[in-house]
Amino acid sequence: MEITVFELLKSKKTINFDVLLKANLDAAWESWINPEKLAKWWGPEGTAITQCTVDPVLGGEIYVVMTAGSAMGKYAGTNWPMQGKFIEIKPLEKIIIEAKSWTEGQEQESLIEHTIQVEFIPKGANTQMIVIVKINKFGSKARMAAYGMKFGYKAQFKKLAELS
Amino acid sequence: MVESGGNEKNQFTVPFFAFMLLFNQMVKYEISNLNLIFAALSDPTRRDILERLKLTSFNVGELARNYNISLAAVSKHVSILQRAGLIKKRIEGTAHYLELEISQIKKIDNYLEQFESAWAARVQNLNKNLSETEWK
Repeated sequence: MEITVFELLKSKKTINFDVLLKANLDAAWESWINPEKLAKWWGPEGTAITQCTVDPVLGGEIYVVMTAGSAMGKYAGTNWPMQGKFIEIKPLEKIIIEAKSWTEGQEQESLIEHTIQVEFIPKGANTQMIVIVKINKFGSKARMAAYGMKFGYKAQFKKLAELS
Repeated sequence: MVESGGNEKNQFTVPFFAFMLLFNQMVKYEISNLNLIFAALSDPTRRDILERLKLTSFNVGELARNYNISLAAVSKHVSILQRAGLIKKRIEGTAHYLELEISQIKKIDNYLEQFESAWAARVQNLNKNLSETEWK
């Protein structure tokens, strides 16, 4: 039996992580709001963080640029910026960032608009961190905002049609 | 769930730098097609056509009977879906049947999956970074 369009798409709308960090609440919080600390983990192996600014206040901006290193061969030097704004910030509790990520030079085609929600729950000497990344829009030319709120959450095709 | 300390599950099979190579290639060569796919999926009639084709193949005339629009209008929707690569035509003698093209639909899935992989790598990195750092 073939997989339906919506069975394939629905799981990719929201990305969830539930992590027990081996660090206290202050350390976990600082990792997100301190640009020097954030730059240490934001970019995985093979990349470097070449720009990182964080203004951890309501309405403040976060801007992080990940740059491909020499290990990536001909892609070395490619930049992947993420620009965001804090739309909710409760110290040591919760962060919500409205953000967009793209490949530099291909912003229109590669743009992904998303919301990042991070919650911190102290667990003794450790911290439970819950991260929810919700994709809101994909590519500036595709009208995913109108359609995208429908796909991914609904298994039934008729419900999607009713929302349009 | 990724546990801190020594019991981390490896949630991704592709190292991040390899993912980024794939990601960049996808961006350069396939984004225009992905935009076509999303544009095609933005219309309820076209989504309905896909849903019907999920069950069985149809020719355009058979499809058109399900809608209160002209055959020409249905044909236009079919063309958009074909251009996006979401459906394909199968020719049997003189009959042309329309079928769902799953591989294109999976392309969207793959693209968004790579975004998810990037985040998985990031969260794992944070976990590792905090585990290795002594905090006062």
